[in-house]
Amino acid sequence: MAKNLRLKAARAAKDMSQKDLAGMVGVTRQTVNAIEMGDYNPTIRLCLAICRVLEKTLDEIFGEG
Amino acid sequence: MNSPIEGYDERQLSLRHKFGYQAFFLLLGMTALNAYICNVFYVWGDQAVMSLSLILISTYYFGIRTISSGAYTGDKKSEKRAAVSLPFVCGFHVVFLLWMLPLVNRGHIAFIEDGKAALPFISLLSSFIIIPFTIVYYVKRSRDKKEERS
Repeated sequence: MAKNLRLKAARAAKDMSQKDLAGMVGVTRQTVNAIEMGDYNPTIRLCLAICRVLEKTLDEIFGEG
Repeated sequence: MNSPIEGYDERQLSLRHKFGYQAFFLLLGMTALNAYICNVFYVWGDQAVMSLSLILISTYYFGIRTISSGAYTGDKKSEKRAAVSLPFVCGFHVVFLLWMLPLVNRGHIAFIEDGKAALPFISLLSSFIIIPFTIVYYVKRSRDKKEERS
């Protein structure tokens, strides 16, 4: 699976660490890291939670291409 | 987002599920292999000793895989519990080994009796499992803390 650089960029734009984002969506920092590295495919519920916190659409962070 | 099951998140739950059934199939495979070895070659221990050894090995596999992938502990509460209980259990095993080994030397306790693994062998095996288990847990924990800081 490819790395999710858009998630990383969106998180950085909000000046958030992985730990901050993890705390806000209710997962561990390792889970956020795994999503960014492309090692884990989150459920739609987690994707929506992340998008809500980062104020982005689903397509902007998790969309293909 | 955290599961009600002891605060594990979805990734941790799916990893624990995956490693759990891998450990189960490992146990099944080892049991079959053990049955073959015992029937064809040599019965290497009592039934209880052989069964417990195989269970310990598959439990160890599950534990090591969950620790290394960050799915061993869920919320902060279980992390604190593990951080306290693991060194305690590890220390107990070290003390137990230090007490037991001189007795083995003097011949009061034997790991192998009549060419078969005896019950004290389980104590030795569990000690050899829990000590690296604890080390891997703390190494992983310190690496995670370093990653958090960077």
